[in-house]
Amino acid sequence: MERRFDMSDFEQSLKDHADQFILIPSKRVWNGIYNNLHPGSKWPSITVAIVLLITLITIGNINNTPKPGQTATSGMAISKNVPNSKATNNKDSYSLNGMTSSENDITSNNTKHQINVDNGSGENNLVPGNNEKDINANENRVSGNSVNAKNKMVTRQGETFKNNKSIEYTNSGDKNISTSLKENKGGRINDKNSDQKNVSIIIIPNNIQEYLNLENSNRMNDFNSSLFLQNIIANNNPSEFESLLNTDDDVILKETYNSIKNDLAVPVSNEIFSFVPAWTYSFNLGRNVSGNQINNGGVNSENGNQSGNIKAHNHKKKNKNIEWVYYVSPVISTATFRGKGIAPPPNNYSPIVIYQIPSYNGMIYHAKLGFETGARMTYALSKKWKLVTGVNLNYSDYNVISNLLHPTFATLMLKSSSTGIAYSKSYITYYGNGQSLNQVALTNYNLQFSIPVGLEYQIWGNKKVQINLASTIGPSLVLKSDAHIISSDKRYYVSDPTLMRKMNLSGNFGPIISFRSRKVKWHIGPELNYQLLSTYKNYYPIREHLIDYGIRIGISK
Amino acid sequence: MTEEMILQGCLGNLAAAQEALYSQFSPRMLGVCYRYAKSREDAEDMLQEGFIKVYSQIHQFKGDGALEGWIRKIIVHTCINNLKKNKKFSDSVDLVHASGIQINDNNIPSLLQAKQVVECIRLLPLGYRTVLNLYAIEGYSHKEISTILEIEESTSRSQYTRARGLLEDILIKKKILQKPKENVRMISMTN
Repeated sequence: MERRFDMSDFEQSLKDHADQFILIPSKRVWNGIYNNLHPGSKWPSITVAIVLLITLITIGNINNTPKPGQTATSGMAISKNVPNSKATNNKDSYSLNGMTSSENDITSNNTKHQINVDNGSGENNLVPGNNEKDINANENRVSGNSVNAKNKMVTRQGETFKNNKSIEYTNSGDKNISTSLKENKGGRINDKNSDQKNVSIIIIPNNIQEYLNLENSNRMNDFNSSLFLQNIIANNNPSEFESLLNTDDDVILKETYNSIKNDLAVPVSNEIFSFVPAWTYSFNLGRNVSGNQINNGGVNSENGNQSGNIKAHNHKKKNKNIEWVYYVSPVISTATFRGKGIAPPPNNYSPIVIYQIPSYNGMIYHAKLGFETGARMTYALSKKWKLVTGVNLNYSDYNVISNLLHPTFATLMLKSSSTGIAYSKSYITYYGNGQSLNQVALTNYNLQFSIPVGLEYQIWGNKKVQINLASTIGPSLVLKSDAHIISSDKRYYVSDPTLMRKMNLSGNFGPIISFRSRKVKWHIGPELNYQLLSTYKNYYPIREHLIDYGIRIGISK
Repeated sequence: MTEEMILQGCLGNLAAAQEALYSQFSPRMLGVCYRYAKSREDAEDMLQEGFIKVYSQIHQFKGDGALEGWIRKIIVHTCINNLKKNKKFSDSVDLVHASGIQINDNNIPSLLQAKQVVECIRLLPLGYRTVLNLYAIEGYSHKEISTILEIEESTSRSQYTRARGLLEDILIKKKILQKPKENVRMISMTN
């Protein structure tokens, strides 16, 4: 159409041209308006996310808090009378440096240990209980102001660790050093599958008794209230411990202590330290380091004048029921469509007809490669069942085949969710539904963050390999998405961000094969993700459900 | 969804109705904002602010005139208020300096139809452009413009005269406007 006008019509002409000018606003404009008009609609999703987060943190805290029945207190009793401390796990007996042996009646189904160290000569015997974990420490000799430890042998579930080095201290001056070997079990006491075992070695100067004999109540209080025995973990580093034991002078020990005391959970008073230096080392005899605890031990003073309890600091123990798996999954993403489309009216006066779209592949679409990554926490409910939760980031996409057009109008028929009334919405689009020389692939994608919750069942397994079946379901937050929707007459594609859901629900299912390599545990298996709610809001009558299938590869310690 | 249903829905704060209203009028209203704004981004900000006002004041719409006209009025006022926030705008709208302005032919976009005209309008200095938009396109009188922009009525007249002259030059250079011996014709392209 061509229009001409005189100069006298300049204003009118300008107005006509200007009024014809339209621009399509970007997505952010409507998003901004919508968020301004409906600020409250954000709250349900935020509330759900906060509740889930708090639940996870609470579960984590509960599981990581040592229970009284499961953990033995760390410490040492010095008493004229034999102190008996009860716990359910261990039976330890100690005799230190000529002191009268005291037996700590700690019953256990699993472990029973005896450690004897004589002043002149002594033997350390760690007698295995029925837990299949044997620790024998032979010929730990203490002579005068020297300590000999020979032929430490640790046998654990068929594996033998030998340390044939002779460990000897020679103290100068009046300071005598006694050693006490203790077994420290990591993790769950009743866990027969545990392959972790720590041995704590407490190094205490002999002048402790002189110190205690001073009957200085303040000192005694200091002594009692101080964190006298600190549990220092020399993780996976027996050589550090051995080098420590091989030193000839406790000055070196002090230096060593100074170098590592910053790592202590609670700082030790330097004043106390100056009087009563003491070190507790815990070193790992297996491959894995777990939580570290010192069991109760009874020490009976020969002089028998002092009575008091020296309590050591409890270290938090990792809960073996919990396992974190970090995973990544390459997935193939595609989608399924359901629901009835609404046919556009032939003209404004004709009734709206609802019909079943005969074939959803009015759309031509192809699967694409996506990915999934996250962290999964499992909590053992029983031998077979585990509770599963975690965080998950999922990117899924697929391609829609389209052809480029000159800008034209396309219509979507929508249905009001509140009134059920169908109405049309028009768009300007560049994309037709078909294939031609101007073919273009439109990517429909979804980036979602989810917090899945579910169960895992062990189908079969032994110590090294397990086959589990896991299923989770969880709310997901759509971080970013784009979708090209087929118009109601199936001739065009339009993009409308306002139709996209912000929150969705995703399910995951699949078997997982877990096996242990040298350093890590692998979790590998096929998986299927299914988006339970439609990608689009309810007022778009066709429901799209995303499906991802791929291989999950995870590792844990 | 009819206009009546949209209005009722918007009065009830229904998101679907609000979205329908937005879908129906936002492209044209963004075109309006674009003529006043410095950039596309500014225009979208104005549009967003304008539509929020529309939804919040929709109960004031009595149905006397067209809904589009009422929305347009709000959008234009939002644009003007936005421009007024910029101190440079009040300076530019007060100054009369058309003679010093040179239009570089290379700056004239070679786009078709309405967009070409709008882009030519956007080449005008901000003060000229605003007065031209308000007078020639929105249909405000010089008296109304003087009130809206808080300038003298005579200033509005002279701004418009010079804006029009400058725009004519641009349009002629771009061969959108032909200037025959007796009259000048503006030719629009084929739709």
